[in-house]
Amino acid sequence: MRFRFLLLLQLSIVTQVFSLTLYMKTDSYQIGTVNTFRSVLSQQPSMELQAAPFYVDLNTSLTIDIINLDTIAHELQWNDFASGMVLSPLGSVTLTRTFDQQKVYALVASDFSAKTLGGSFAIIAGLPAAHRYYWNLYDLQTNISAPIANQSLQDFPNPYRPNLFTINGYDYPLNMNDSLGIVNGQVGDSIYITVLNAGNMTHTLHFHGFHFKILSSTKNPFQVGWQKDSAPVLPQDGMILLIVPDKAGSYPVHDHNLTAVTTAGGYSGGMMTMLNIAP
Amino acid sequence: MKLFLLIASLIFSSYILTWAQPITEYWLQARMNGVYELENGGQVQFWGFGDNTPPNPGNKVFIPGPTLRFTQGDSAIVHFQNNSPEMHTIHFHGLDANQANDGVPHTSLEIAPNLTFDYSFNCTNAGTFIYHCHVLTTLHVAMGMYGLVIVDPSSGPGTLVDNGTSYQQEFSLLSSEFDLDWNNNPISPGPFHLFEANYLMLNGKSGTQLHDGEHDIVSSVGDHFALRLANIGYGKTIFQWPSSVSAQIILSDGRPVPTMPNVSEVSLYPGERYDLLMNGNLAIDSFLTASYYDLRNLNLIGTNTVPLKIGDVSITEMETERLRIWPNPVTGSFNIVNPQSFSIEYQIINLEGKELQHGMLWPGNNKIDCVLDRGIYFVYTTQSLGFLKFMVL
Repeated sequence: MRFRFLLLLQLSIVTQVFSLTLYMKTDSYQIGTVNTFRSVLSQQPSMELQAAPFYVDLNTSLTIDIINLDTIAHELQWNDFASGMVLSPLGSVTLTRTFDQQKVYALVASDFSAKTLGGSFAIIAGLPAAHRYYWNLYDLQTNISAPIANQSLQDFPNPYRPNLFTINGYDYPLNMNDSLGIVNGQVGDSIYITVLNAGNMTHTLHFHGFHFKILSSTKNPFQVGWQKDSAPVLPQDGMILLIVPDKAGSYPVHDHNLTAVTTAGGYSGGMMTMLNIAP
Repeated sequence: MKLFLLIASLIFSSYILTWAQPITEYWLQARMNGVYELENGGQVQFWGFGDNTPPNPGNKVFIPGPTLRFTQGDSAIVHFQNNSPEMHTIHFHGLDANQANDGVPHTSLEIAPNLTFDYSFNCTNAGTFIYHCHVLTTLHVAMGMYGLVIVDPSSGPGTLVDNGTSYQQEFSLLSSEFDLDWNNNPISPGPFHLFEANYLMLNGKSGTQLHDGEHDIVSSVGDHFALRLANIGYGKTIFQWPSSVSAQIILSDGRPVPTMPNVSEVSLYPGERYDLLMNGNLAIDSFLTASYYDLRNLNLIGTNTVPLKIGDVSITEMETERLRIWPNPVTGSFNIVNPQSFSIEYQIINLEGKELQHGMLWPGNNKIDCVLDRGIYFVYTTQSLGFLKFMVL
């Protein structure tokens, strides 16, 4: 039974926003032929799989209320901090933070259940308002999702053989209506793509058509500043990528671990999205 | 008058553009009837790319397919013929071809059996790239449909980037994997997410196949060598070498790496490439190790090793004051400079000591027509001028 009262979102309508309310919830959903559980941390109390990130200007301070709608406890941490916080069953926690660097500040679940089921939320600081896109990457071996959700399974399986790979909650081509993730830009645009790996393994994104510049990465600072066409996104890393298209056309972006461009073992599917560039 | 000048200017500028972008062409074919000799002596089938250059196209495919070599600034054309019973494409990974030439079936087109397609793209950046089939990619790449693309800087081979440090030797290693169950049953290989890498390759060879003398990395103290690394496998490959060998990352994915860091190992995730400038500080007879990890749980699957031998005399330095060869590596004709005021005889021999070519070197520069296959060779002279090592690409 969930605690389902809806707090008013304390979002200001002026540009500087000082508070934010997030809801943690775990539920099952159907994706194609696959039924699975997922933990979602987002601004809505409903199970929104395509959950938008939150953009802030540099040096914004936020008070964040996090409400646990699940009847089990969870733990959360910032992906750049080692220490976490406990979110008791149906309880809440309030935290504050100032965002002073251009990077992804990711709140990620750190208890085994919600971490494995992808509970995560991105606060992105310092990006221009135009041409911003968001990819929340995720993978799961779905036949163990129910015991993970009810906490009867506490250990990661070895071997781990994920059969579901998604961007913003959906696999290709179900994600082709994803307004957060499908890039619709123009030649010459500076397009900022934020990637958060909420999954359980490293995903290597390969861009067709264009090289991207890695503007920031929390878990892989070695490659910050590099221009790449293929780069690893480590688990729980948040990265900001920049492309400036020099030609028009439609170009895929996909995981180049080719076991991940599948869904339930079928090709094509999984972790793939599109860059649509107008002249 | 203004219109005339405009037209003349356009004609002239298009001429310059054409002149500035020489066209380099290759001919490739795809076949699905390759037979791979396993390290244990067994055989499995593979699909791959092979040479299709007229007028005498081959009829075999290889793992990896032929390396395509271009120069920065080239307009590239790759004439592709599908000599197989199923659809295929070529995706030029990292070369940022336009949509029509991207090799992705749902955004461009796939090439039907017995049909041809001419892929074209511009080589805007130097570095190491990959080509592979993009049809049913999880299976077709697993079956062996890939190869390397190398783009030399506009100044040609011998440096990784224009005005970069010269290298005297060059080596490339492409990491890949088989799931042998798929090779044995590619019609119905099972769920595609259950690929299990159980045969690990560098340049299409595995285990002791890499110790046959043809895959050795051979350099000398005082020399630099380029090491081009690429990973078309589904896991992470970590390359490591002895601590007496220095390595600097010059390029990754065909772009200069800003800080050009010194490294003692590199991890290549699927699709990544690293171009390293390396030099041995001590004479060693050792190995470079490639360790393969399954990305799904970071389990170590296995390793391959390649002999890495650093000689104690810098052949190039020792002979710089005497004979000189340029360019090196050699791609066509080349030059040998005889610093003496008299003519001398020379021999070109291979690594087994067999003479392949001989003649006279006149004082000064001598242009030599190269009729040698790809490999490492030596120039010997009769006048105690020593020898020179060079490489044919």
